[in-house]
Amino acid sequence: MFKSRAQVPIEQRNYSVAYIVFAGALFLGTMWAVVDEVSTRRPWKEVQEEYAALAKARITERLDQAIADFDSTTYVDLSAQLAAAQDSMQGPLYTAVNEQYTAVLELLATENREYQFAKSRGDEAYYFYKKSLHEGDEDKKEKELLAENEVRMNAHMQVITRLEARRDSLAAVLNRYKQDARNLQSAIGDLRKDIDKWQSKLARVTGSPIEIKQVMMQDYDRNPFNDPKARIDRCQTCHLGWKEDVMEDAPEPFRRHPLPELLAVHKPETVGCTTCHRGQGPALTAGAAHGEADPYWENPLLKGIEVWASCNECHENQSHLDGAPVFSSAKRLMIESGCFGCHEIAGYTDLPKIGPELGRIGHKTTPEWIFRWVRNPKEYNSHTRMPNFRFTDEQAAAVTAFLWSLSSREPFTLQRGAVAGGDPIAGRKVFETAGCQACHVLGNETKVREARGTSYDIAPELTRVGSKLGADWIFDWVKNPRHYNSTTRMPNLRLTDREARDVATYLTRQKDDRSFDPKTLDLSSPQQISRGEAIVREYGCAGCHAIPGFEKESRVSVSLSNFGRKRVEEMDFGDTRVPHTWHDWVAAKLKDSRVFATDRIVQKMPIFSFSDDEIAKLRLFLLSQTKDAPDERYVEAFKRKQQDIETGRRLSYEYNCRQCHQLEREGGYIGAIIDEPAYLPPIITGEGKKVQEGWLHDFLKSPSTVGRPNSIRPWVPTRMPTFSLTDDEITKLIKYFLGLSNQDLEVRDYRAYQPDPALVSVGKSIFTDFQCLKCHPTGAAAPRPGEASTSDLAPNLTKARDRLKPEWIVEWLSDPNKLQEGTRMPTFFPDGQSPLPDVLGGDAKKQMQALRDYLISIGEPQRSVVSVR
Amino acid sequence: MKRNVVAAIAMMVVCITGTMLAGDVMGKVSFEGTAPKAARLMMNADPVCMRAHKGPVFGEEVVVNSNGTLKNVLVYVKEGLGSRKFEAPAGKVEFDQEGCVYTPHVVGIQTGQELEVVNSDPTLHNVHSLSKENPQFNIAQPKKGMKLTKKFEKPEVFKVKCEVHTWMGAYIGVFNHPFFAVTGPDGSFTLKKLPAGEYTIETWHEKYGTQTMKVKVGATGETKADFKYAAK
Amino acid sequence: MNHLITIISKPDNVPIVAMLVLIIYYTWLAMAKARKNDRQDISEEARLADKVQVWPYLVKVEFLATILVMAILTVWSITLNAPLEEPANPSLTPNPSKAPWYFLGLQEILVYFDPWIAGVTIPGLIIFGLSAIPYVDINPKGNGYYTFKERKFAILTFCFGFLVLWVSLIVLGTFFRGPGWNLFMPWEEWDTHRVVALTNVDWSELFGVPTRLVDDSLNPAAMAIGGATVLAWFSLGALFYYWKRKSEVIRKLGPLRYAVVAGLFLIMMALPIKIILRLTLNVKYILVTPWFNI
Repeated sequence: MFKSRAQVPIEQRNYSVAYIVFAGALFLGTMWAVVDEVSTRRPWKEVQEEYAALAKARITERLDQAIADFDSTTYVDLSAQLAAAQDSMQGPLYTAVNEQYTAVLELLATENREYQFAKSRGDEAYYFYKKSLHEGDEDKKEKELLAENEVRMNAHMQVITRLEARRDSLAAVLNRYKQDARNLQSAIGDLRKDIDKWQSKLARVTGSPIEIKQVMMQDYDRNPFNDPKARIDRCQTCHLGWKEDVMEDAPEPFRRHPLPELLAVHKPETVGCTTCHRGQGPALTAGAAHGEADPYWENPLLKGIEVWASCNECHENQSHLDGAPVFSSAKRLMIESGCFGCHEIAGYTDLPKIGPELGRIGHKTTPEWIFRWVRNPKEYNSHTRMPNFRFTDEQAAAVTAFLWSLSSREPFTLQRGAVAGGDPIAGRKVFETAGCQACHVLGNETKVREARGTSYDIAPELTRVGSKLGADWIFDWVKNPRHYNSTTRMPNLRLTDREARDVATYLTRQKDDRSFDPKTLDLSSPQQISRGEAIVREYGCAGCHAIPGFEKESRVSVSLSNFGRKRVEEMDFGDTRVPHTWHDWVAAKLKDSRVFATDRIVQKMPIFSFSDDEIAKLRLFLLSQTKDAPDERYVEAFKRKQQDIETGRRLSYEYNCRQCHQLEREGGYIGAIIDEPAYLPPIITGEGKKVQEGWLHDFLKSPSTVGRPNSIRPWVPTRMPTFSLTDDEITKLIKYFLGLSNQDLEVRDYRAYQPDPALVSVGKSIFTDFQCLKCHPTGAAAPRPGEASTSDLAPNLTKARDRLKPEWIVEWLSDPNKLQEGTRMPTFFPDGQSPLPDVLGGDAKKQMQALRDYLISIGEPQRSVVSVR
Repeated sequence: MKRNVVAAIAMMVVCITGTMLAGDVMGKVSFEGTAPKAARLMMNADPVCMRAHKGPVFGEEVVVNSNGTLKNVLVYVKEGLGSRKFEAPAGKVEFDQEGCVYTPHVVGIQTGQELEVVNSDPTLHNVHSLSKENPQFNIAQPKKGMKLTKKFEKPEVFKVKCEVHTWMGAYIGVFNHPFFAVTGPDGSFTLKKLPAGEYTIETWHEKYGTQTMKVKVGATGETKADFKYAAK
Repeated sequence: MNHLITIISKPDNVPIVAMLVLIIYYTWLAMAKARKNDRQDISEEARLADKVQVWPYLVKVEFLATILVMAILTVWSITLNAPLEEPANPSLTPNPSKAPWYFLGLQEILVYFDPWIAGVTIPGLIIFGLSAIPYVDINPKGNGYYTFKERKFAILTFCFGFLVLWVSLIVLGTFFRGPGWNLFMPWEEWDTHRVVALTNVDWSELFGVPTRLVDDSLNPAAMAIGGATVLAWFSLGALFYYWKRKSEVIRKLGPLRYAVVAGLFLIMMALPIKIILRLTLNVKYILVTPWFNI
C-alpha cells in the first residue's frame, strides 16, 4: 500500500484519513485529560461525598433521638405560659404603665435639654463676668445672669432626679413582665437545645461544598536554603470527621481524633496535622499524603507510638509532657540509661553523670569483684544499668588495676568493727519498712521493678551485696552516704546506730552463692595500670562515672542531635542481613550494639539489655532527634516558668522522687509493696498549691516523719529520706512545685493571716458536725477513740496552720477528688451544696471558710520563720 | 412498592413477636465445698457502730445459704440483646448504710435509674465509688437520715466503700437492660420477660469471679439455668 | 538485568529510549532513501527541477504532525507523572548527581578530562565546528535530496560525532553510571557503597617515567613524552596533507580550510581514543603541565 502511495505525486495525495485519525486521537486525548483532571486525580471528591452520607446518617440518628427525647409536655406547658406572659404584656395594666413610662421619658428629655441650655448660658455669663473682672470693670449684669442660670439649673436638676426615680420604678415593673417572657423563651430554647444542635450540624454537613480544606501556616518551615516557607496541610480534605463526636468510631479516614484534649492545645485549624503526624501536607491522595506512594518524601507519616516523636520539635527541652506519656517515658529512658554520657543530645548536655564516682572504689569492694563486674556487670546483677563492654579477661584485669590504683590517691577512713552485735532479723525489718525497697531490689521482692516496667533498676540490686561490700562500709554508707561519695543520689534514711548495725548485718548475709574460678590479678604493675587507663579513656567510662584525672574528657561518641534525619546510605550494616532501613538499623543496634562490627570495623558501644518495648521507645526518641524546629511564633516560648519547672523536674528525676511519690502522673512505684493504701507516700503534683513555701523548705531540708514531734503522719513506717539538698536545690524544687500549680514564688507571711473569731466558733461546730476527728487526729500520737488501726488515719490537722496555704484548704474542702484523684477524703459539699442548711445560712463557701479559719486557729506555730527569696 | 409493603409487614411481625414473645430464665446458684469462715468485722473504731449491734457482726464476702446456695451473686444477660434499648424504670434503688454495714451488699441497677444512698446511722459515713467507666464519687454523709441520689450512664460492676469504716464495702452492678438479678437467701434468681432468643448469661461473685452459660429462651415458659460455684 | 530494566522503564528515561528508537529509524530511513537515489543515478538538473510548493503541501503534512505530537504529549502527560524527587537541598545532593539527559554526554566527558576542557573547550569546539561547516563544506552536492555516495566524508564524520560520541555517551551516562559516578554493568546493582580500586596512571608512567619527581615537581621527561605524543597526533594532519596534496579535494579546500577540518577532525577522534585508553589502560592524563592537563 505504501509503495503504491509513494507513486502518487505529492500534490495529489489525500490526507483525510490521517487527519481524521489524528484529530480523533487528539480529541480523545483531550477528553481523557479532562476526566483525569476532574475525577481520576481527585479521589477526595468521592471521599467527601461518602463522608457527607455517613455523617448525615449518624447525625440524623441523633436528631431523631433528640426529637424522641423531646419533652413535649413541658414544651406545651411552657408555650402556654409564654403565651400568657405575652398576653399580659398586651393587658391594660402593662399598657398603662408603659404609657406612663413613655410620658416620663419625654418629660425627662425636655428637662435635660433645659438643664443643658441653662448650664450653657451660665457658662457664657461666667466667661463674660470673668473677662470683665480681668479688665478691671466688673460686669454686674453678667454676674446676675450667672446666678439666675444657676438657680434655674438647680430647679431643673430637682425635676430630673424626681423623673429618673419615677422612670426607674416604672422600668422595673415593665422589666418584670419582659423578664418573665424572656425566661420562658430561654427555657423553651433549652428544651430545644439538643434538637437545634443536631439540626445545625446536619445543615452544616449537607450544605458543605465539595472543596479542598486546607490550613496554611505562614513561615512555618524553612527550606534547605534557610528561607522561610509556608506549610500547607490539606489532610482535613479527607479526614473530615476529626472533631465530630458522632464519628468517634467511624471507619478511617472519617474517624474522630482519639485525643480531643490534645487537639484543644494544638488546634488543627491553625497548626494543621502534619506538625505532629508528618506526611505530605499538600498531597490529596492517601498514598502520597501518607508517604507510602512517594519514597522521596522525607517526612512520611509517623506510625504507631512514633507519632510522639514529633513532640520534640517544639518541646525539645522538656523531659516530661503531661499529654504524651510515651514521649515522656522515652525521654526518661534516654536520661536514665545515660545515653547523653557518650552522645551529645541537644537539650541534655549538662545532666549529672548516672554512675557512681570511682575515685575511692578501693575502699568499697575487692579487686576480684571489680574484675568480674568490669568483665560482665550483668553476671553479678542482671538488672544493672551498667552495660556490658564485652571486655576480655586481660582488658578487665587492666581496668581493675587502674581503678584500684586510683584509691591510693584518695584518702578515706572507715570506722572498723561498728557493726558488732547487729541483728539480721531486725535489720530485715528495717530494710523492708523504712523504704529501702523503693529503689533497691533484694531477692524475690521485685514488685517495684515490675511497677516501673523498665528492664533495669534505678539503684543496685542487693541480692548478692554481701559478696561485694563489707559490713563496715555498709554501716558507714547507710549512716551517711555522702561521707563516701559526696555526689551520690542515695539519701539518708536517718537510721539510728542500732538500725544501721542491723541493716548492715542483714545485708552482709546476702551472699553470692555461685562459685567462680579464682583469678590472680596483677594490681601493681605500671604497664597494667596505664593500659587500664587507656582502655577507660577509649571506651569513655568517664561518660557515666566521675574518675579522677578524667574531668576534662569529652564525649567519646557521635552527636545524636540530627540522628532522626540520618540517611540509610550513612549507616553501615556490616556483614548482617538486617534490612536496609533506618528503623531496622536502629533496632538491631539497640538490641546488640556490636552487631554491625566486622573484621575491619571495631565498635565500642557497650551492650545494653533493653527490652523490646524500650527499644521501640528509644528508637522513637532517636527519630525525634531532628533539627526541624518550626518558626518561633509557632512554639510556645520556653518561658522562665517552664524553665523553672524543667529545672526542678530534672532534679526530681535525679533524686528519684517518683520511686515513692506520684508526680505529674508518673511514679509512686513503692505502692506496689505497700499493702495499706493509707501508708502510701502522698501524690505531690499539687504540692505547690497546697503547702507553704517555708514549710516545704523546712521539710525538704529535714523531713520529719517517724518519731518527730512535727510529723504529719507519725504512724506511717516508710520514711521520707533526707536528701541533703542544698538551699539552691530546694529553691529549684519549690519553684517546680509552684510552677506545676501555676503559681509564682513570692514572699508571703502566712502568719499574718488572722482568722475571724466569729467564723472560728462556727467552724468548730461544723468540725464537730462533720466528725472530722473520726479520721484526722489532732494530737501528736493517735488520739482516736477505741483501738482504731493507724491505717484509717488521715493527716494531723494541728499542723495545718504552719503547713497549708489558707486558700488551698477551701479549695480542698469543696472537692478533694479534683485536687487529688482517688483520695480517701470525701466531699462534704457535693455539687457545692452544704449538708448543714442551718449554719451560716447554708452557704457552702462560708462554711468552708469557717472550717479553714478554725483549722488555722488550732495548734501553735512551731517552726522558725524561713525567709524566702 | 409491593416488596416494600411485604418488608414492612415482616418487620412489624418481627418487632411484635420480639416484644410479645418472651420467657423467663430461672435458676439457682449452688455452692460446693465448705464455705470459708466469715471474717468478723471489728467495729471498735467507732462506738456508734459498736452500739448498733448486740452480737458480733460478720463480713458478707461469702454467704452460703442453709440450702447450700450462694447469696449475693449477680446474674445478668451478658450478650444476645443486640442493639435493643430499654427505658430506665422510674423507681429508685435503695442503698442503705445501717449499723455501719451496707444493705444490700450487692445491688443491681439499670443505666439512668436513680440510686438512693441513705445514711441511717448517727455517725459519719462516706460513699466512695471505685468505678472505672462511670465518674467516681466520694461523698460524706455526716448526719443521720441524709440522702443522696446518683445515676450511672455506663454498664459495669464496681465496688463502693467507706473510708471512715474500712470494713464497709458493697458492690453495684450497672446494666443497660433490665435483665439482672441478685441471689437472695434461697440462692435463686429469675430474669423476667426476656425476649425469645439466644443469650449468654453471666454470674458474678465478688470472690469467686464470673461464670457464663448460653441459654435459649423460647416464646413462652421458663428456661432453666443453674450455676455452681466451688470453694477455693 | 532486572536492574537495567528498572532504569530503562523509569519515567525520566522515556525520552532517551524514544531517542534511541527514533535515531535508528531515521538513520535507516535516510540511508535507505540515499541508497535508492544513489542507485537511480538521476542527473543533478532533473533533481533540482522536481519541486513542490511549501504551501499547502508541506504545511499540510506539518500540521498533521503537530496534531499527532499534541496527542502523544497529552497521553504521555496523563499516564506518566513528573518524576519528582526530594526537595532540592544544597547540603544534601543526590548520588549520582546527573545533568539533564541531553547534557549527559558532556558530563561523561568530565570523567576523562579536566573540567575546563570538558566543560568549556569541548562544547566551544562543538559550536565552533558546527558553525564552521558552511564555510569548510565546499561540496555542492546533496542539496534537497538524500545521498551517501556524493557526501561520504561529511556523513560519516557527522554520524561518528553525533551517534557514537553524543548519543552513546548519553546512553552510557544514563544507564551505566551509578552512585559515585562509577561504571555499573547492566547486571550489577547500583550500590552506594561500591568500592572501586583507584589505579589510574599517567601516559608517561606506562613507560616507567613518573609524572612527578620525588620533590613533587613535574618531571620534564614526562612532559616531553606527553608533549611528543600530542604533537605526533596532530602532525598526522600535516602528514596527510603532504601525502594527498595533489588530490583534487585537498587542492580545492586550500591550506586554511584543510587546517580547520583536520584540526577539528583530529580532536574529535582523539576523544574516543582517550576514553579507550582510560577504560583499558587506566590512563589518567597524556600530558601534564603546570597549566593544563590533557
